[in-house]
Amino acid sequence: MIRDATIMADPVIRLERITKRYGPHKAVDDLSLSVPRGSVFGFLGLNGAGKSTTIGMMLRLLRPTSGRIEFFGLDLAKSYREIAARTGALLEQPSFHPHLSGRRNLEWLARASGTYDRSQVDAWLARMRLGDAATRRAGTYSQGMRQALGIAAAFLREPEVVVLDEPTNSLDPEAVQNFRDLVHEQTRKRGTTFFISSHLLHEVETLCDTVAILREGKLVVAGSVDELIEPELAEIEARVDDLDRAERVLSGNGVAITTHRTDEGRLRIRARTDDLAAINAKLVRAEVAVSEFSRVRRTLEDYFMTHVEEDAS
Amino acid sequence: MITRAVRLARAEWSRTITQRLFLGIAGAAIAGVIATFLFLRLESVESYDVPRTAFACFGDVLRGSSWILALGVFLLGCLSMSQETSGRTVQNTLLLPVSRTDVLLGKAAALAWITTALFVATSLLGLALSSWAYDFTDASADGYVLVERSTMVRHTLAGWALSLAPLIGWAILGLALSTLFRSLAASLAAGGFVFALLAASQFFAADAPVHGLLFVHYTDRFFEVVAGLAGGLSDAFWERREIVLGLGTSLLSAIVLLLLSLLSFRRAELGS
Repeated sequence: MIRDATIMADPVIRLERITKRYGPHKAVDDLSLSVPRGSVFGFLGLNGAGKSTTIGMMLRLLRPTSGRIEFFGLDLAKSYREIAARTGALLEQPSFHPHLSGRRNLEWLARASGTYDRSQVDAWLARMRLGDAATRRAGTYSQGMRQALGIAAAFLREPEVVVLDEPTNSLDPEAVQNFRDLVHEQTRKRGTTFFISSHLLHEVETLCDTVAILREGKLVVAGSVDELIEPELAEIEARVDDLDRAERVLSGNGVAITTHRTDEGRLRIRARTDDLAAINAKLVRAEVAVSEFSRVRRTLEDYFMTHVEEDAS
Repeated sequence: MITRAVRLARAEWSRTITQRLFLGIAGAAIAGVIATFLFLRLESVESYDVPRTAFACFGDVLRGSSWILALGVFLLGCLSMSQETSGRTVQNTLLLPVSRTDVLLGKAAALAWITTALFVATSLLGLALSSWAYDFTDASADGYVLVERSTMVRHTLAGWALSLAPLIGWAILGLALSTLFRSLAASLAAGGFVFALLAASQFFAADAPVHGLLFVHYTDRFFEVVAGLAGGLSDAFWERREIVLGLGTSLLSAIVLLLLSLLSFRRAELGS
């Protein structure tokens, strides 16, 4: 299922047929994407799918072999400074000057971009719970603390768009929750748009409203999380007293459904969401005893395993 | 662009490692000045063809430290970009609203500023020692034309100021190697090789028509001019050709090396 991800109202980020080649290998292949303003966009894929390469091109660290990238309707190749002034970013496993303290590192970045404000630096250190470690050398920070410092650096200029590559890597559960709160807070209060690359499917499902899945450099699917995990065809698991009879009843009812038996002796029914009530009624009318009739809650992980890993194998 | 480069240069200076290297080089250069001064004092005055003046001493002590300064700023240049590329901190800088040209010019400006500061600090010490030990008198000797004090002051100052150009050339050469090689180890290895080659070409083939990069020839040439002039040599020695060649090759080399660095840095792939 590949949907057209390019038609979207008011996209704040637009990737148009981006390709990145390394010799004969295509790390990113003809990728087109649009990220709507104010959304939390998840960018998913297995390791080596091309996520970090795409982000590298979006942050101008890598040069696309072909294609065009736009932020705020501006061409990245021509208006980089204007775009960067309105964008914050976190790279995977961020590096800082090890001999400078966490605070000095943030001050360094703020001074270099001409937006130094000590109160802002202190506020972000406190927000990322680094206040106590602010004067310690960044070289002594744990990976999780460096990640938190990287997130603080990404927000320092109060950006309209934040691009984050694997932001929850190495964060402890408390810090992950703090990060989630931060994303929700920034989206709600400031309308910040997030572009989050991750391979942690649960994390993306919790945080993001829109996702794109990449496989071997190509876009597999893009759309809202709800659309992907709550598709038109729902899955129901039913515990019935007679599996054969239930299957016979459902196969002849004129409704487009598919059934199969689970290992636990239940019947799994796939049908249109609108038909679920009718299916239940049909079984009851045919005197099939239904002791349980529950909708199988799909997760992004289920979707990913079905559409990406199975396709890949 | 200039404002952004200056801002980045100031940020570069705020890095502790840069400040530590600055202090290290300053310490080595000051030690070089003092060592040269002591050597001059210990050596018998009679061994000189010309009476020693404060100007001559100033030129000599600075000449003694010129190669230490050159090596120091070259090392600083070699580390400036490769250290950041190896440590991946340059990527953080590139996420800021600055272009790659701004980043490189900022580094070049920081290096030029640091070189100037080191040069001035070393010179002030040299001047203080020279004026304490010798008089600022007119100089003359058998076979040499009398050089008036006013001429010596003018030419010493000119020679001193011009001596900065080759040093900045060294710093930019280091920056160019650092940008081209990117890896810390590779740029230091290349730097060591290039420095040894150029220094050897200066010491062992000083009369050869081509001295590798010409500005290398002028690393201590201007100091030599200062010393020679202040020691009683005639005005004729202070040829305009020396100034044009020294200053011209230094600046031209710096510009060419900067352009090469820029070309390499702008095309560099810096993904994680």
